[in-house]
Amino acid sequence: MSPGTTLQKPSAQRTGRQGFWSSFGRRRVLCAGAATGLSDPARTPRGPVRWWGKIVWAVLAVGAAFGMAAIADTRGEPVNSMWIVIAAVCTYLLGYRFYAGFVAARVMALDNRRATPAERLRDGHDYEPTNKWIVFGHHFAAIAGPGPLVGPTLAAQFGYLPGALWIIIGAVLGGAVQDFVVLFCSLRRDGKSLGQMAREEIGKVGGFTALITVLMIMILLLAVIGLVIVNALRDSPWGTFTIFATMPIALFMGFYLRYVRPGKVLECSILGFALVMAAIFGGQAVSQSATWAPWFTYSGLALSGALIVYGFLASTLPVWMLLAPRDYLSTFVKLGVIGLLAAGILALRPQLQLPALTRFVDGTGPVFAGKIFPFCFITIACGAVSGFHALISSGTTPKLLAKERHAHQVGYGSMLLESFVAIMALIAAASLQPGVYFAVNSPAGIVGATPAAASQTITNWGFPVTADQMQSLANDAGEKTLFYRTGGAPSLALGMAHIFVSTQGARHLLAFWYHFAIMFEALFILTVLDAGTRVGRFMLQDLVGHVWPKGGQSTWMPGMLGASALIVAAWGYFLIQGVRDPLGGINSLWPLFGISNQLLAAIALCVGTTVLVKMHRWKFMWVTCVPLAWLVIVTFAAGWQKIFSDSPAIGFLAQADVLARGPQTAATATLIFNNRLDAAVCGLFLVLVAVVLCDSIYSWVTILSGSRDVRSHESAFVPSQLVEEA
Amino acid sequence: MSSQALQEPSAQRTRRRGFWYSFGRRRVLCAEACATGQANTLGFHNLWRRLQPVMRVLKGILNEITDQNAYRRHLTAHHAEHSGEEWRKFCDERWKAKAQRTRCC
Repeated sequence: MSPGTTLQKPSAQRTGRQGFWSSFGRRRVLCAGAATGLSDPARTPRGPVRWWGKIVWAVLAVGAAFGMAAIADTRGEPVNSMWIVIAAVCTYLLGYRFYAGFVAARVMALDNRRATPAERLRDGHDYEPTNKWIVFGHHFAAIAGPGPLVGPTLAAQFGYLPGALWIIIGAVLGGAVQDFVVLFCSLRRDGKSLGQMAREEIGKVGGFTALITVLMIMILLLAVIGLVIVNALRDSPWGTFTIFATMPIALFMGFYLRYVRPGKVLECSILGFALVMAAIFGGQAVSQSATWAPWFTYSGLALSGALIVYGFLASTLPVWMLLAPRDYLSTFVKLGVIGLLAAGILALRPQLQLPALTRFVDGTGPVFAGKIFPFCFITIACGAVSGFHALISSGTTPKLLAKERHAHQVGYGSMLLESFVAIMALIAAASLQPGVYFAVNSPAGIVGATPAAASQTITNWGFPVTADQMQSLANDAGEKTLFYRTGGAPSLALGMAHIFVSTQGARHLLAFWYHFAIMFEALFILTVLDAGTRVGRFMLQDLVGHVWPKGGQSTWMPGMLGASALIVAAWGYFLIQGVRDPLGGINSLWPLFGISNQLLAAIALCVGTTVLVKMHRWKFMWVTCVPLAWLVIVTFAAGWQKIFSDSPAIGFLAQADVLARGPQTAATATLIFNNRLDAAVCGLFLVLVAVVLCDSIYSWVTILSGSRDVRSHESAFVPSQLVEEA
Repeated sequence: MSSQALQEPSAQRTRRRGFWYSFGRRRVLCAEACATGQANTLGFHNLWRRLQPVMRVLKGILNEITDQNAYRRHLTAHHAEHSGEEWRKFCDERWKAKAQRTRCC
C-alpha cells in the first residue's frame, strides 16, 4: 500500500473529497461521524464543481437515452455501431455511479474502517492487500472467458437489438450486482467460496446442491466450448496446424520457464507469442501445400478425439509443463485482442448489417431453435449474467482486496467491462452481411447439404447470399468453405477480421486476421478446457473423498488418473453427441449450458439475498430478488421448453419421439438416448436449483417472521490499520 | 553542471559534443526545470510525469499476471533469494492452489 490519505481524516473532509459517498452514504457517514464525535458532514460547503458534475451526469443520461433510442427506433436502414457503444458506455457509467453506489453505500454499507481478509489474514500467498487496479485487472482476466464472445454472436440471429438491450440492462441490474454482492459476502466471510457460504448461510442441502451443480455445469461448459473449437477447426488445415503448434510451444515455454530462465514469465510469454505468430504464418504454408494439408485436415469426430486426449493429458501432466505457460500466454493474448477489437471498433465505427429484429424471433431460427423469450437471455448468458463469476468473486479476489470499498470497482466494474466485451462481439457479428452470418452459422440439417441449396434457403429467408460470394469469402479467409461453421467462433472471427482489415484498408490480410482470431478463440478456449478438466478432477476427488478417503487424495496416482478419465469421459460424451447431432450440436448443448450457468447465478443470488436478510437489510432485498426472480422465470421457462416443448427442434423429448417413429438404426438409437439424457440433465438442474430456492425462501420467511434465530457467519469487526491509497 | 554550459546555445553544443550529449543535456535541463518549478513549460516531460502513475499501474498488472509480485512476496515471506530452485518451489506451490480454482466461461 502506498502512503496517502489516512482513513482517520475528519468525516467532513472525507465527504468533501468523496462527493458520491456523501450523497448516497449520508446516513452511514452521519452515524460514523456521530460515533467518532466528528463534525456533521451535512454542513460541508458544496463547491461549484458539484454542479459541473451534475451536468456531466445529465449529459451521460441524455447520451444513454439517445443511444438506446437510436438502436431501438431505427428500422430498415443500417445503424452505426457507435450508437450501441454510446448507449452501453453511458448506461454503464450511470449504473456504476448511481445504482452500484446505492448498493455499496445503503445496501451493503461498505466500510473502509473494517479490515478485509487480505489485511487480517495476510500470509503473503493467498491473502495479500493489493492495489485496487491490479485486483481489477486480475479479476477481469479471471472472469473474461469465451462465453461473452460466443453467446452474443449466436444470439445475433434475433437481430442486434434484443442482444444489445439485454447485455446492457442485464449487466447493470443483474450480472454486475450478482458479482458485487457475492464479492461482498465473501469479503465479510474471510474469502469463503460460494459452496461454503451456501452451506453456512442457507443450509447443508444448499451447499451440497451448489457443489453438484457446479460440477455438472463444468462438464457441460467443457463440452460446449470443445464443440465450438471442433466446429471452428473442422476441415481447416490452417487453423488446425496453428492450434496444434500451440501445444509444443506451451511445452517449450514450460521447460524454458522452469529450467532455462526461471521466473522470466514476461520474457517467456513474449517468446511464446512470437512462436504462435510464426505458427499462424506456418499454417498458411501448410494449408497451401498438397503434401501437408491432408495431415492437418480432420473431421469433427477426429478433432473431438484429439481434444479428449489433450484434456486428459492436460489434467494429469504436471501443471508447470502445459497449463501454466498456456495460461500466461492466453491471458496476454486475451487482453491484447480485446483491446485491439475495441480500438478497431472505435476507429472503424462499422455499420450494423443485421436488422434490429429478424424473422427468427418467432423461434424458427437456424442457429438455435426457440423464441426470443426465453432463449435470447439463456444464449447470451455470460455477457449479461454469469453464475461462474460468483465462483471467482468468492475465491481469489476477496483475498486480495485491501479495502471494502474497492469491491465496488472490482466486483461491479469488472462485470461492466465484460459486458462491454460482449457488446463488441455482438457488433463484430452484426457487422457481417446477414446472408453471410446465417450461411456460416446454420447447420446443413436445416439449410441444405450443398452450398447452392443452403444459399437458396437463406436467400428465401430474406437474407440474400450466393454460393459464389461465400466461396470468394472463403478463399479470402484461406478456408475451403465457410458454410456450416456452427458454434459462433468462425462468424466472430470473420467479423473481427473484417473490422481489422477495414481499419488497415488491407483486404489481402483477411486470411491472416481470420486465423489470428481463430487462434485467439481456440487458445482462450483450450485454456479453459485444460484448467476446467483439472478443476473438475479435483472436485470429483473431493466428492469421492467423503466416502473413500484414499480416492480423495489428489496425489494418489490411480485416483488422479481415474478421476481425470471420468471427467474427460463425461464432457467428451457430450462433445461427441454435439458433433454427431444433425442440428449442429450447438442447438442442444448451448441452451443447456446457458440454463445451467444462469441457474448457478440464481444460487449465488439466493446466497446474497440470505446474507442481506441476516444483515437486517430486508427492505433492500429487491436488489437481489429482482434479478433472481427474472433468472428463475427465464431459466425455468427455457428448461421446461427444452424438455417438454412439442416442437422437435426445441424439446428434447419431442425430438426423441420423432426419431423413435422413424426407421431404427444404431445411430438413431444413440440420438434418441442422447435426447432423453439431455432432457434428464436439464430436469436435474431445475430440480437442484428449485431445492436451493425453496431452502432459501424457507430461510428468509423464518428469519423475517422471527421463528428462527439469525445466525450469520460474518467475521467480527476488526479496525483496519491500512492507509487509504491516494 | 556549470551554469555557463547551460547557457550555451543548444545547436552549438550539439555540433561540438554530438547528439547523445545533447540528449543527455535535455534530461538534465528537465530535472532542473522540475526542481525550479518550471516543469510545465516542458510538455513532454510533463506528459511523461503524468503518465507515470498509469505506467505504474500497468506494470503492476503485468507483474500480477506474470506472478512476479507473488514471487516477490514469496521471497520476502521465506527470506529467500531468487534462484531456479526457489522459483520452481514457488511455482509448484502457486499452481497447486491456482489449478484447483474454477475457471470462468
